[in-house]
Amino acid sequence: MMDILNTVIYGEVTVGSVLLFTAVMAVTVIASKLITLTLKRALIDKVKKAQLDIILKTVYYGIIAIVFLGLTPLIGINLSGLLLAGGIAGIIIGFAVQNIVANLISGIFLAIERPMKIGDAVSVADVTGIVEDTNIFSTIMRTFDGLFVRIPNANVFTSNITNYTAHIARRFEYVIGIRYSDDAERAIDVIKKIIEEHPLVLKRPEPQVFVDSLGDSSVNIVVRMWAPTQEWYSVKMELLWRIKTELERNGIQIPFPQRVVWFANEPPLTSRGLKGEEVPGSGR
Amino acid sequence: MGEYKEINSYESPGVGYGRFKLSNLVLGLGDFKISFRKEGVVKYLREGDGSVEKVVAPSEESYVYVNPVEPLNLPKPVSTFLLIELSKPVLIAPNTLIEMYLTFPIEIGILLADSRDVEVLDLLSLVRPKYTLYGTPRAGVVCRYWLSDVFHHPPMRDPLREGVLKLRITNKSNNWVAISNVVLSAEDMNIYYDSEYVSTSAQMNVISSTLAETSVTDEPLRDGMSKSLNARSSRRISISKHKFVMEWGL
Repeated sequence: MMDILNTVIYGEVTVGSVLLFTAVMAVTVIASKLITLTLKRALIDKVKKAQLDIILKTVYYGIIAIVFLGLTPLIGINLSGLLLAGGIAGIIIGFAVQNIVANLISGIFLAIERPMKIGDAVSVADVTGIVEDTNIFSTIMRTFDGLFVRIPNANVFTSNITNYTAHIARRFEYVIGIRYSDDAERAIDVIKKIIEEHPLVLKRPEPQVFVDSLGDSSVNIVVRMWAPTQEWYSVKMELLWRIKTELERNGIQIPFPQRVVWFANEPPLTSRGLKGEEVPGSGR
Repeated sequence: MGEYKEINSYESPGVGYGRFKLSNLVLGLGDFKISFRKEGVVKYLREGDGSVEKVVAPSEESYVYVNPVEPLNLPKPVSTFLLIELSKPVLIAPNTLIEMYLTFPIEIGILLADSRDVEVLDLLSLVRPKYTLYGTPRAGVVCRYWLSDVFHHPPMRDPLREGVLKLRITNKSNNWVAISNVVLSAEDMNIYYDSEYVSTSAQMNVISSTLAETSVTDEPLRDGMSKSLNARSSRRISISKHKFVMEWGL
């Protein structure tokens, strides 16, 4: 029995060392499975599924890789020799896969930081849309017009990320111009009543309705309100027209742009035989 | 479960909740009228503030339940919490237990049920819904909003519109606390009804002047009340006591 185990296969590798390598690797694979299973049970309620998958795979393959590297002398692989021989190759491979590694590392950091999750509406790296998937190397987006966009994680990680759905409520506003001859206080009351009656305009934070500026053609009323994030856009689309029609029903008009022009030197009227006659009210 | 009523002709049984056989049936519910017409299958029609039509294929064991449900479904489900703002703050002495009554809005659920499952057929409300934010936009919660007076005895209210919440508040802190808001996780509200009242119950443990824990409890206002089917979970019996920590002020 001992003779068989001590039988040399090649170099210093014996049947016994190969069997030991195989046995330890088998135990390592089983242990890795058990560890990742335990980890999964512990984290399943605390971490999103996509991120959990990344963590579990990292742990699983990490343990196996570490043990494998530790056991390589048993199968006759000298890592110091490999390191020396692989030095130049490593540099070449390093340059070749630097983007892949950058994306991998960025993917891990994004999974830890969690600036967005699947289903969020975000703007990242000049792309605005819904996050469809977050993989270890890339983030998949669906733009609002239905296009598939794959963004490498390194780009995502180094870009400004605006997450439109991270918070549970968001504010939006209108600027509504009314005529100078209209009663602004009456207009504010009408607008407040409409937004009070809408169920999804939140009671608190309190909506704001106020005269913001005196424009060239209109008195500008700013209307600010909060709505649940998942409903804000439908509320925004619905309310503006309702405000417009309700203002008009109360005799308050939204004016067209207008400009009064005064001539420094009144030009002569040339049509219909009025040439040279003084124009009443010209002030001259 | 509720009083059994079977109506075989088109007649209004008056305002009332209960369990009904899926047959020819007309019910007046405030501004709404709902009707079931048996023509092989059963056609459901709701009239008033827009109409809803559906077709039901019932079994022999099928019933329709018309009962008050948690006010979290209209105009669409955006929250599982109910915030009741008190019209006047209530000041509570240290280490004191008080009981008081508030009102809360209700929605009316028309639910199909047989021995195995419950399904929402329709939901309507005679009360205009309003929502609010409790806490911050980053970490708070969206809640159904309701403004209530504070009562020491159960107030009489239209059972199609409002229910009575029996609230037991325990101030466990060593300070006077002022209560202006009560936030409940209302998904598992236990709602009871009879011919005069719709009711539910909850408790609030005040830990400090800015922190309290609330939970719904399962206690009818008085004996003989029937328990509502829950529209959210569509379960016959709810035994969970869902808790909520009010950490953004009382």
